Amino acid sequence: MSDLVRVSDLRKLFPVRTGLFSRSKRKYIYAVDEVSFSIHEGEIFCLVGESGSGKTTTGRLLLRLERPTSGEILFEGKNIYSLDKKELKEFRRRAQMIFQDPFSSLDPRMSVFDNICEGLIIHKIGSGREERFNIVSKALESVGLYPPENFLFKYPHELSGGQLQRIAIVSALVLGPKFIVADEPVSMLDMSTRGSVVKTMLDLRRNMNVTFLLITHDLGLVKYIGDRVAVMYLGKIVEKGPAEDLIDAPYHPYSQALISAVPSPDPNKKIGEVRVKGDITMSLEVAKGCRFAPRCTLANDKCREEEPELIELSCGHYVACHEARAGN
Amino acid sequence: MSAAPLLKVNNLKMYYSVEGGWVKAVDGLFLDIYRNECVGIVGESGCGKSSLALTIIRVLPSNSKIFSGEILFEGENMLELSEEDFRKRIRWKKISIVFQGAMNSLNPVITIGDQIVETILAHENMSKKEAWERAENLLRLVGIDPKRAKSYPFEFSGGMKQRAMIAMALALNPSLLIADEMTTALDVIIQAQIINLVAELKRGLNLSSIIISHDIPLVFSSSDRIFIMYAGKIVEHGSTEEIYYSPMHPYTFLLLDSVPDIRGKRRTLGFIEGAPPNLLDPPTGCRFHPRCPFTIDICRKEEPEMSTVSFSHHVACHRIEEITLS
Ligand SMILES: Nc1ncnc2c1ncn2[C@@H]1O[C@H](COP(=O)(O)OP(=O)(O)OP(=O)(O)O)[C@@H](O)[C@H]1O
Ligand SMILES: Nc1ncnc2c1ncn2[C@@H]1O[C@H](COP(=O)(O)OP(=O)(O)OP(=O)(O)O)[C@@H](O)[C@H]1O
Ligand SMILES: [Mg+2]
Ligand SMILES: [Mg+2]
Repeated sequence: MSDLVRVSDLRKLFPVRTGLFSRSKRKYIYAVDEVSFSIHEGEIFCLVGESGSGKTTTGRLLLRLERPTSGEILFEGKNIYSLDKKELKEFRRRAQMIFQDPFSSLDPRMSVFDNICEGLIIHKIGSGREERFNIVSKALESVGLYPPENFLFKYPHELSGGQLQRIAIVSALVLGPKFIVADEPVSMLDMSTRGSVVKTMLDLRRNMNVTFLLITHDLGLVKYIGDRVAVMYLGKIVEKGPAEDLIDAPYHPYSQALISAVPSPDPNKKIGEVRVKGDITMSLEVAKGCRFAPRCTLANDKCREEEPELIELSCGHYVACHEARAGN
Repeated sequence: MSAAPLLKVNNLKMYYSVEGGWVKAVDGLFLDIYRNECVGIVGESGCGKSSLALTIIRVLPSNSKIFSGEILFEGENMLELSEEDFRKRIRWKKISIVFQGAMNSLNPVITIGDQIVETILAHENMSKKEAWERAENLLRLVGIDPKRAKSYPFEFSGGMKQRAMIAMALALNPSLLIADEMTTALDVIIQAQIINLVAELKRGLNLSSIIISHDIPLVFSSSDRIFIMYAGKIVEHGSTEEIYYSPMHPYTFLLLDSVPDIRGKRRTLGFIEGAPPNLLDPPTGCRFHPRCPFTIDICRKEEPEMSTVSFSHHVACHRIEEITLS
């Protein structure tokens, strides 16, 4: 399998505002820090991890919606920052983002149809209103918005959260992209509706070989449709591997804590157990050594001194932890 | 459970006017919440959950109309209060809400800290300094470093904005919190911590809450009672145990069946066959009949009434006598 996307040593820092009087020492957030990975063609590569760990920023960097502080991103072997004007326009069509917040990703002053049509017109897809109407209607049906006429002429504020989210998905899909960064694309859908949207994604992959970077907090979804998954913690990838393997038998203490915190529907089992120390407050200062050490129950002196590297513990399954052992 | 409910919704009908008629988003709905109780509402996308929430907190769009019903809060009908009265006494102070898509409801040009402080100062008599302290405390409670209070919304991640809105909703110690997809943008560890926080407030400050979410494991693991909503109506409600271990309505049963268990084998995601109803023109009789595997003639013609299974468990289905679901 060839790589569609290849990311090396990607880093993005944001300056932080801490108030008027702290101008003396500028602080930075390491939103994405020395991240490397590649995504195969036709793959569903998932990104999971703590809120604020840099998932959305990574996705935005991959689509050139944000400039990296350093590092390189290749799309089909080409550096996305050295595309010429024509190539860039083609890249803008071929690589789409489904944004995390559907409430702000559509233009509130335009109807659903006009919102979706905008992209079709820019990229000269379909000729005339009628043909575009048919394209859009079919796409709405494929995500369970039925009958499409009930939704096409509504304005975004007249739709429910899950309906909006599906309109956002459709806006990306109708452009016939090759690569989609889907940032929490089904977070507002019930299980049944989610089923039909996921099926649409899988069909695209099967029929058109579309590649996905799927960002999600839903570990069940990762297990059911993901090929590989990377776990992020404070800007770093701490574990990476085949989706089912990693969810069933995670190596990194953070991944273990995350997976054990997934609640079970059985009321007698109550909420998932939380296996990390300390409060959830993330701090601005990045500690020396392993970033998870302050909250890790296994941390020792080495962890607090030396930053662990990603190493392969079992076939294709990598972890950055001094204490992780295969078969744990 | 004490005698009088904290909130009681009676036969509420709230429709939206659109070209071609009325979208019957909330259509003859009953609901009750007791003091110190956490109630979960689940149902398909578009069935009217947010519409119900917006009706309770009274922030409806201009094309909406309330056709009938009562919303009794501490015995007083909220629908009869003037907007002024409701805003001064009730909204945020007594009943607060985390809107669905809350991450988009922050003001983009005001820092996160200032927004929380403004909300506090609008309702409480305290100095700006005290309000800042409270705001910082709230941010800490939802897991955000107070040092970042001076950030603007665009400098926060999706989940951080979401948590800022949760902090805002808790700022005035409300008695009822409506949480519409409150934790969907959060990872499961932070989600568990937020839910534990709400549970602590329930114990310490008698906070009642309505949890609306598609995350069934989350709702079931944090609620005392569950209401199942379908096409603008409640079709079944009961204690969490009753709904989980002995669902009676075919819709409830199919809904629960479509929930994947992360600890089980990899399998395909479940579906409920057929399209969700068009609320402009909902099906006659039982609204679930076009998709129900147990439909018989009466289901198409007559609307089923709520019948009693136990003191706390109620269901609206013509066929509960004949079908035993297992
Ligand atoms: N434009 C910006 N300016 C300053 N800081 C930013 C900006 N965008 C993101 N950040 C910070 O970078 C970090 C990573 O944010 P990001 O949105 O990538 O997180 P995330 O993993 O997507 O989180 P979530 O799951 O909550 O959406 C956060 O601390 C966030 O506050
Ligand atoms: N302002 C409006 N005008 C017309 N129709 C509306 C308006 N707001 C919502 N609707 C419609 O009312 C129905 C109920 O919407 P609501 O937002 O209450 O659903 P929901 O149960 O919260 O769904 P979700 O789980 O997707 O958030 C939907 O079919 C929606 O399209
Ligand atoms: Mg994000
Ligand atoms: Mg909603």
